[in-house]
Amino acid sequence: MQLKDIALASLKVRKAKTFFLVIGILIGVASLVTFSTVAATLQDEVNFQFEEQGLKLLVLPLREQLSLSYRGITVASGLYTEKKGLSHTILDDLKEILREYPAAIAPRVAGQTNLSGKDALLVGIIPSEEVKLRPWWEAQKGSLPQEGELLLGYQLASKLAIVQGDLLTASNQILTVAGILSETGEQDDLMAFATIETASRILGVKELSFIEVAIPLKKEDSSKAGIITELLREQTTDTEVIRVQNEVGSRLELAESFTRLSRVVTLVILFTGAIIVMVTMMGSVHERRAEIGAFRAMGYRSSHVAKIILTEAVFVGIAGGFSGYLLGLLLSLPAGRLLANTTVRITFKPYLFFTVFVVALVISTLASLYPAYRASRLDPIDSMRHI
Amino acid sequence: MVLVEISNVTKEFTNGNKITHALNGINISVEARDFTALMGPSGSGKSTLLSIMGALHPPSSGKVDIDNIDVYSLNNERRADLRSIYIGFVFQQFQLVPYLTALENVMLPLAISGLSHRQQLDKAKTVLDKVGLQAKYNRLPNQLSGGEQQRVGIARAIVNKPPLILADEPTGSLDSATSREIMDIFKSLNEEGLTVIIVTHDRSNLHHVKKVVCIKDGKICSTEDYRCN
Repeated sequence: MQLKDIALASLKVRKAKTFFLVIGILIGVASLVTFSTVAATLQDEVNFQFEEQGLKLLVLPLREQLSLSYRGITVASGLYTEKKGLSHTILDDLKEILREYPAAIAPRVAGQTNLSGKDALLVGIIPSEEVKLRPWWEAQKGSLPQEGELLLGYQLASKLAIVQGDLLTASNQILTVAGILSETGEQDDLMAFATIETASRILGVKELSFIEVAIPLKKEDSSKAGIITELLREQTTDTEVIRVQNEVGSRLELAESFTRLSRVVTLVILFTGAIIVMVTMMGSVHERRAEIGAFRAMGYRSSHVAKIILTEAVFVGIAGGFSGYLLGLLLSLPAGRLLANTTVRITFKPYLFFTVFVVALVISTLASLYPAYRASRLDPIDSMRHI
Repeated sequence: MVLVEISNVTKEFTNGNKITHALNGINISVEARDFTALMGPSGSGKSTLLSIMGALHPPSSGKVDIDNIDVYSLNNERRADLRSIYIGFVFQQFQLVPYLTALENVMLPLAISGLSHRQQLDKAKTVLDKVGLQAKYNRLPNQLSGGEQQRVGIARAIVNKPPLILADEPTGSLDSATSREIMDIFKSLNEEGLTVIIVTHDRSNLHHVKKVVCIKDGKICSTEDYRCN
């Protein structure tokens, strides 16, 4: 017979109270596991997509939004005043800021032009950077444009009835069609591409229209996306840095929001569970006053009594932790579908398992500290009067 | 040799503005191997005196020595150790732990002794055999009669081999035949060398004791006087 045997026997015989104690821990642990599993699944999804797509940013000239009001009534809003374009020197700034990352920095000048009598959108690019951003670009015929050359989108070439090697005129300049892109299914199909120098000369602009930045991120670095975006915002002047809100971005936002919300909800539930444990344990101590008085009369120290109560708390923590872990994993399947529209794959994660047990034991023990203290301070004579 | 020495012990209880003097200047010496009964009417202070002797409840003033140890000069934890070593308690309501078997109840004092499970089992079985419960090791208290429960209570009190047994109305909940059996057990324990002090109302129990201390209104009215009540 050891103190743990007394604790275990007491829990076994007080089935209803033990049930409530375990439930108190179980609900907190199950929510922790459910939310953590769903959040981890979302994060895994985002990480996977990050590895595929990376972080994409647009660096634009600073725009100011205007809102026109007349006597307090907004009569027009969303008007933008666009300042001048981006200086070429910003490219060096970006390279310096992003020197730690394998970033593709693709500056663009863009504008409408007339190609042999037909309107078209001309985009000036640095071909070597552009292929980093669009590895799927493949010239169906010919090659990427050099100075004085054009690369045409598939549909634009069809519309102009142009083939590789043909000549086109734009702003009184003769340009050779160096290549025609395979069909991409994107806006590229309708555009003409030239080098930045060629496009600037044709469009009559000196500054860049915008810069596209792509940074491939490994999944373990996905959390850096926000940091990099903020870094660019802080360290470039007269620019607007926009994160391209593709599927990854929206899932990332969902993952981050879900993680924040789940932490709050889990904390509230764990706190509630702790209160349940404390109240139930206090009730148990009250009910066992006579028994505790007898222990004290037998020579048990107050620390022995406290140890019995805390040992019960440890058993409750183990039972609640284990059952809560299993329940939480099961609940994560419907929770993933309902809360985050994702399919959770249940896997054993030693870190989560270990964390859950530590949390369960800590909550259970902390919640039982006060009841254990009260039990240890009971007067044996007073206690034994309550038979 | 004096085992228990009580010197000028008083005990007061305060209830609001009202002070009740439960014990007034009690002096008792109990020799080792004595079998002493504390008698007195209800509310005379005998159970209070027993709990003070048992290191459970400090007196308002005075001194209690057990084996020349000033009990109330010790801190709570040391007093608990002293109870574990020197005193075995037997209660009127048995105070058995309801969810433990007879054997486990008897093993309770050994749970803090550091003995191995095997040693605990052997000791518990020995004392249960001694009180005649060899066939009922695994019975829960509610599966035992009152007399059997009190035997378990006695076995639990003596399993640590304390020199002093303090029994508070040990036959108070038992019929007369069972009371006699229980008192016989106390007598045999005393004959084996244990010092026994019992609180009792029942004059028939006095046949077994060597000394009677009568208490009335918190004072000793007489010793060795069977007619004090």
